[in-house]
Amino acid sequence: MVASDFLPIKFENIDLIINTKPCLSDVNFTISDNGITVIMGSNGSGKTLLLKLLAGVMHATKGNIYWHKQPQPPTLTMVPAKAVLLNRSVYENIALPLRYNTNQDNAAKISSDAAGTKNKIVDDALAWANIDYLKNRQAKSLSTGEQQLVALARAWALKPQILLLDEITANLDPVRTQKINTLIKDLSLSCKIIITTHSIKQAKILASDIILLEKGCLLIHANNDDVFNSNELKHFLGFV
Amino acid sequence: MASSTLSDAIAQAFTLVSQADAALIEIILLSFKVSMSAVFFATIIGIPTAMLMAIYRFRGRNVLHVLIDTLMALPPVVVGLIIYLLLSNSGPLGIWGLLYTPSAMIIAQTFLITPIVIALALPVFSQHWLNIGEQMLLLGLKRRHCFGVLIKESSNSLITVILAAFGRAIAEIGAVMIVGGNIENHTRVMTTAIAMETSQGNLALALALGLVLILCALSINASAHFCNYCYGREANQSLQLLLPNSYGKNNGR
Repeated sequence: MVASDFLPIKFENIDLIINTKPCLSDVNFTISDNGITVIMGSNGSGKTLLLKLLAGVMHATKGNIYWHKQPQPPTLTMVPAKAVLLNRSVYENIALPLRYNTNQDNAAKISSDAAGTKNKIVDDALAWANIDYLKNRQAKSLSTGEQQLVALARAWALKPQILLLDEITANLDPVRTQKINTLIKDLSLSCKIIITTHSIKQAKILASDIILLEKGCLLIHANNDDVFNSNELKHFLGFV
Repeated sequence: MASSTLSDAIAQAFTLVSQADAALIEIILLSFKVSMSAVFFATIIGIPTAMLMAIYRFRGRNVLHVLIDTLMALPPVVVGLIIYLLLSNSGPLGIWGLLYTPSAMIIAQTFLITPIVIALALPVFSQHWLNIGEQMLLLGLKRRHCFGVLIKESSNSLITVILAAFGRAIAEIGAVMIVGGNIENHTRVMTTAIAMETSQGNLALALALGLVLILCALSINASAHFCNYCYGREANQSLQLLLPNSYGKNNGR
């Protein structure tokens, strides 16, 4: 099953109120294209909340999210701004979720030859992210950038249909950011990616379409070029 | 005069311990058997309960939390009395004939320390769940899959929880005195023996048992510190791999 089976993803009249505070108000948009959707906005504008609603770990106070053609949400995973790794080796961090993976492709492969296939998937994931040399290291002893690469490799190994990335390059140096951007582009060939960022440069490089949020409201949702020529973005950046 | 009596008693106590006096050894072994059994049962009841409370939100969870905190503050003699009433011949469990046996003492101690295990383990699991729970669910794990993950993540803290429970059990007197009866060669443990020997003026044996109890407390704390030290050293070793020389080796692998 490919990511496009779940497109368009439709946010309809989404309101989210947390502890009486309105965090998202009447958000409506439709993501129709494969590729990378970038969500931008200032701190507290509701970017991460949108991702969490998509991921199903939070539920909207009002409104609905529709996955086209599918009664159930697709298999998805999320990589947060600060990688959440377990207190064990890099190998085990990537291998653990494979044991419980519900992705049919992976599940079929793993059940046929559990140990061998799992090993191969982990090795492939490490090779994909160019971090083979970290395989036996304790995940928590790695640098922030390395941890983020491990988290990305773990997501890759799960072969999700939709991948949510929450400011994953926020704390990284330019070299590491560039490396991760390349990996994200590569990943977007096999799954739909929705990423939040503060970086205009990253949005320009990656986005096929951009969603701009301000104070929980949708400012604009359009393709990359249209957004960068829009007054909304200039307003957002404080130019007008 | 008094100091002479005290110094004599201390000397005799050391003699009893160093000569491995048979009566002393029997009491010590029974104490450990009862307390370790109670810790075992309290752990297999308390750890899953704490984990369920940390991972799931269910109706009555807050009431259960209050109940556990209340049980933790229960005086041991009250627990002893309740177990006594349950196990006595006229009680609902009297048919088992457990009163004045080590089994009754294990039940009483389990009842006493299970709330402690839950109350100490709950914040440990809650904190770890807060840190990793959402991510684990997003990686496709169900909540029930996370039990093993949480245990492994919390293992160092759990050792401290279990040691604290054992410390509480081995030092307990009220409940085991009531349900065990302090019967010689049968249900006499260190704490009940100390109370009895002191009341009879047999200070040497009381002090010898007291010394062993202090050694227990010392070894429990030493074990806890050792665990923390090992964990810290492991973390340091991992961090040292980041040093330039090691890093070069890793890159060359």
